[in-house]
Amino acid sequence: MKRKWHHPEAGAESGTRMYWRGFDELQDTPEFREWLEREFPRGAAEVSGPEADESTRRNFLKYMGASASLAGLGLAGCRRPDQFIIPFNKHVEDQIPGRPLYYSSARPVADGCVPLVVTTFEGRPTKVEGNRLHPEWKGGSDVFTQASILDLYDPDRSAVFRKEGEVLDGDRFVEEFEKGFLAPFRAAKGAKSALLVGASTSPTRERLLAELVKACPAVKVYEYEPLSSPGRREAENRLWGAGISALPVLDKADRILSLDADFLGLDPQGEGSNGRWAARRKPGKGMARLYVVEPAFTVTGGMADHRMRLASSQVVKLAVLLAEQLGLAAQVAPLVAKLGLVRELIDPAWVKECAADLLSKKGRSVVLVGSRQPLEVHLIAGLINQALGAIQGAGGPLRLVRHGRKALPGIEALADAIRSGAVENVVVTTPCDPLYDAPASAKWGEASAKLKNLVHLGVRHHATARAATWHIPGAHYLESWGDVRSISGVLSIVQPMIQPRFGGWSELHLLAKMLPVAPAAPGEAAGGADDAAYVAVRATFAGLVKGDVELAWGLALRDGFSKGTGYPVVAPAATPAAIGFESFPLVDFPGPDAIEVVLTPSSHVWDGRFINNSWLQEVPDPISKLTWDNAALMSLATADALGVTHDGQMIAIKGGDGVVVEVPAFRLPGQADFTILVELGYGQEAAGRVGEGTGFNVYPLLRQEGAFIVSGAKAERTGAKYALAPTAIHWSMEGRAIVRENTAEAYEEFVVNGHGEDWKNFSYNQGMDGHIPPNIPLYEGPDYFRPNQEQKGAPLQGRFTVDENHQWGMTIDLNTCIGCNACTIACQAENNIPVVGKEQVINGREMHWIRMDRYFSSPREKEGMTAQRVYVPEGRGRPAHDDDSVEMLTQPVACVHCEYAPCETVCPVNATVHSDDGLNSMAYNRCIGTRYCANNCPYKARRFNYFDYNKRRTRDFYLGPLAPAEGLGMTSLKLQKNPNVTVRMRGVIEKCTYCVQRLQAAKIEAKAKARDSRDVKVPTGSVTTACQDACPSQAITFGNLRDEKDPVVKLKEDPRNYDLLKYIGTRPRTSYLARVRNPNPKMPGAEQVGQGSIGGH
Amino acid sequence: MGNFFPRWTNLVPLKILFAAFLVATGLAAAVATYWTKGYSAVGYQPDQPIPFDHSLHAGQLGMDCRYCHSHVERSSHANVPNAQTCWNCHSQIKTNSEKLVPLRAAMDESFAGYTGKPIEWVKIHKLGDYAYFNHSVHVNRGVSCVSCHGKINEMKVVWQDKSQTMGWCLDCHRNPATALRPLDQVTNLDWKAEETDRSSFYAALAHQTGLKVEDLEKRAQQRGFETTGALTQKEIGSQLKEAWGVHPPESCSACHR
Repeated sequence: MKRKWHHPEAGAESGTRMYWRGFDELQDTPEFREWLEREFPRGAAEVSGPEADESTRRNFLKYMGASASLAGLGLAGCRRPDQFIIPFNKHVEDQIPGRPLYYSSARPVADGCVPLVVTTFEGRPTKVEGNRLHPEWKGGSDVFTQASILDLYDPDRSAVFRKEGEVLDGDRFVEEFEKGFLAPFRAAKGAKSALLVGASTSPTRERLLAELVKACPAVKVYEYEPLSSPGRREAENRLWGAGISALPVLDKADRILSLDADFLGLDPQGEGSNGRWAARRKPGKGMARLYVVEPAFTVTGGMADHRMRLASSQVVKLAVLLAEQLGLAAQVAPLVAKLGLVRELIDPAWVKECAADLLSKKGRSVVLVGSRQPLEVHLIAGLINQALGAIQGAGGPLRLVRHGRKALPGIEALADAIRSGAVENVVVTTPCDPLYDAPASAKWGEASAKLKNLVHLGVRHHATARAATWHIPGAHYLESWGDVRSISGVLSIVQPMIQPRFGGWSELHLLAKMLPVAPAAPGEAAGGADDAAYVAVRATFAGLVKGDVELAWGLALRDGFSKGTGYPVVAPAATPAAIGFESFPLVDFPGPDAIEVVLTPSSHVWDGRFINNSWLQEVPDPISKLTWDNAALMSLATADALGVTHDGQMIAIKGGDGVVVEVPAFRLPGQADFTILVELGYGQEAAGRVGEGTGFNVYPLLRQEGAFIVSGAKAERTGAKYALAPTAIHWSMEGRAIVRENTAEAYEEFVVNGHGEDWKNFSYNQGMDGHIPPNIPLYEGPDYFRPNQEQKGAPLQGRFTVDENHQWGMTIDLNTCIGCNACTIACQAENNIPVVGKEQVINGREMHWIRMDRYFSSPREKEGMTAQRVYVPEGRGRPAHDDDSVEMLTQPVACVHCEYAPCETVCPVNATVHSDDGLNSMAYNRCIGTRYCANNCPYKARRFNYFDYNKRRTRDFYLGPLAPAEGLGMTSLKLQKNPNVTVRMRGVIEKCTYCVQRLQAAKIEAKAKARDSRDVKVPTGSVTTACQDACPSQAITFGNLRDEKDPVVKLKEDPRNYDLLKYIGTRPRTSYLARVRNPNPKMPGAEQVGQGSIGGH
Repeated sequence: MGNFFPRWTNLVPLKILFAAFLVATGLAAAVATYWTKGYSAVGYQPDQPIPFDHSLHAGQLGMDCRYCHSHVERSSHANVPNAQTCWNCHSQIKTNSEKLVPLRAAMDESFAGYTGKPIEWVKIHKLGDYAYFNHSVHVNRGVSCVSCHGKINEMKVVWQDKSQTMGWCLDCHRNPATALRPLDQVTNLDWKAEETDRSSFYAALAHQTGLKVEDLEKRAQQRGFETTGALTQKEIGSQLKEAWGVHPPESCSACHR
């Protein structure tokens, strides 16, 4: 029987909200239809590009002929070449060829670390994963951590020692450096010398710095990171005392109000916050509620139950109003007086109800403030948190810990000291690039030019490194010994996985060398005892732990952390009487003549340090879906005011002191009007081959340390255009009920109160799925998805061989998935997925197996929208959306492993077939590249290798087959590849495999262990996919559907469970758990929240 | 009525003949290349840097395979031994042999030609990069070395004995009974099913499975085996397959990832 489904017309006028991914989709422009209706976009199939002239099809045939005849003539084709097996001379401890070795380690970040387990194959690290044993983190990582491994193999990383730009070999450099810098430094006791270090929690670094200052009392230490938060630092100082930090513990919070704090994304606060927050987002009793006030969408704002768009500079006003509501009027009186009439511009009902809700959960509610906010907001929030009873020793949602680190002076102070002549030699070890990213007020370029000696140690050969007198290649954190404390103080040891690839030094190594006498060795001649950093770390460790040091050291290396090393929790000090709000100027709301520019950390390059990391460059931004560039993000109203009609039109932003930067404009919904958001870190001149020419440098707008909010800027179109590479509407699924949400109230109604007799009424049968006839199976076999009682234990029967023990399945919880991209990058690292470059992204050829869809939703009803709130695009006459009530959802989509997979039936060569354990598998060596499967995949989950992405650099893609295939540097990147996954060549399709290499390894392990018994079932929970491991909020659950104890089985029976496009009968193995929002019914606009997909089809 | 066929058709038969000739030649060449044992590399017997004699070590001296290939039970790779493994004995035995110069160059610091460089053995069994074979799961589940590598213990210089093509793999994956043997005989390359003692085989199997010997024999009879006389590989294999629950995967994803 031939079945043909007519998909219903998308976006029929029912349901209360529309779901869309880009303005083009919302307005149904011809460009969008073009993307939609082609399996691959126009041009994607043709060999065309910048060098199209030399690579037409005709030329291609010519080259092919030439290479064929060469192959015939050459002798190489006749005999197969010898390959060699080269075993070690002596056995290396624990090393078994073919088996991975796992080490615990940690990736140091500015105020803590990400505890890790690192996978190594024959001595080369290939993958990092969160350490699930860590008491505070409990697994998961983030996108930067996942991608950091690529930096280790970056072919453009600093590889040579340099003196005044001249390359010296290691030994000679050591000799000259000793003579030219170290000896005079020691002799002068550090006079006229200073260090510029990055933020770090390493106890060894702290100790070595202290020893250095002791031995050379004249030396000064400064600290610099461009993305610091002077406001928070100072507020903590004033409120709680020196050396004390406030740490959110979000699993203890019932109500969270974020004031411009992207705490789930780029402004992490506390540790393991995503996981802790996710733990409280289980629908039902005790579900936490999140209020977010922010200028533009962040991943946190997308998760909000109530969100207000508000310019960053106005957040302080909201904080004041909130404090007023909470009975703190007296404390904030000086600011209240200044508010005047402005208060009406911030919805008073919103503030009032939010305050009431926070207060109703006294002791269980907390206010978080963004790092870029000024001191006053941090102070007010501190007062509010105290009034809310958030701080109560170890039990409250905000925990005060005494880290005891002394605040160091910053780069401005150092520059002043250089200008005054007090400092002539500077050793720079900060991981950023001061010459590029220092705030204008420091005038660092001018200051550093005056230095006699600028010693730079770093992994990248960036602007500062190029200007340095002495440049030392740094060691990556996977190459060096170190130690680090997490934000709450738990000590982890940073272990080297590999010898420094280019003989680089770690920061600790350099510090140890600067000391007059080497620090005392712990008396053992272990491997690496000649490594100064190792010796120093061991010595510090011995001083930090009690009892048996050897045992503690062994445990710390094994577990990845050292027990009982957390910072002490302290009680809050009395609130200081005078906080001093008097001098704080309130800024007016931004308008067309006084644009506000917010400089944010980049989701791609952070502060600029990942500029040469191709994985991060290519992963679409969680919100804008831009790749390879930054842009000036603005609302439609702002765009109208500036005359921006298309994304990519260049605008010139004039900031403080008359500085002008040019950035392409990009329009996004849900953004505060007349606020422009731009990512920092792009547009570097000394970036390396990947980062060269990407994005635009907006650091010149940063006039002072921490001044990320630039008010009163001007912006205008320059007339130029720039090609951006957003992926928002690539691989669209045409607005069908793909992403589903509902409210906590509805959930309780159906589930908790037992009114929902049919669980399918919750989310399973939304959209078309409510109308489908019973499935007429084309194949036989039980329904693993919702196995009924008799099917559950029964042997599997079918026409095909079926694995009785293992049937794999996955659920993805949209309630906790924030869309941070960690899974996408983890997948890229695990599965050897190539990057394709900006040009190919524009062509729609990105290769990520996990596509992170981002949907905006906006109310459909037109009444109730005031004229100002509705944006009507010129000439189209249809209201686009309401910027105030627009919501965001994210949904990762990879191959869903249909049991009745449409791709399999169309493959002419059986290259994609079903496996006995329920995978839709790809045999790459069979694939001939017809792309029929991709055409027939309703989920658009298949990716095609248009070029030899793994063999060639992006710029060489279009060269003919005779061109040298391997560019310089590709060899270095090869070292990262997972040896258990085929590296795909040009002309084959690929897609998510459920990490089949891990599944096979687990099954093989079980069988090898079973030997002569029948017990070959993989133990519950012993196999995880890379995306699941990487997810910081445990949104992804993978497991064996034949295993009753497996968590995935339970989740498949959750009322929120639904399949994508169930009505076409593919029976996908990956299902989704619908988003449940938890609106406060008293809030304005609550009736709209989370109502989106109900009844819609 | 003009000419029914246009002029250009005159040459068509010739063209067809020529094309057919090309196709036939191509086919013949393809068959000659691909349908030979040579193509699957059976018999590939390269010279090794040290002419290591398996027939002496594994055959005459009776060394177990796992003395040198020590990780075969734990890893996907059956490792080629480190030079240290050879040196364990050869620092004492045959120290002056010409044949052992590469070993001494790698290990013997007192040797004039000492380089410290590891020995480069020539790989004999080559699998496509897209195929992932795992030794441990085979040897732990009763597949002997001999099934894939032949009688290594009789080879002076090792050659590739089996075609190791995908079809050859699948032959066994579809009929594992042809290869299974008791676990303690996996590295005994001379083991013969026919020489196995029937009663002790069944007694051991009964002990391991907890079943009675009669039941096991009944099981064999149901499958058409005579439960008297010499054992056969098929009988042993099918009994073990049943007892151990051996279901070799036949899906693509088992070997291609």
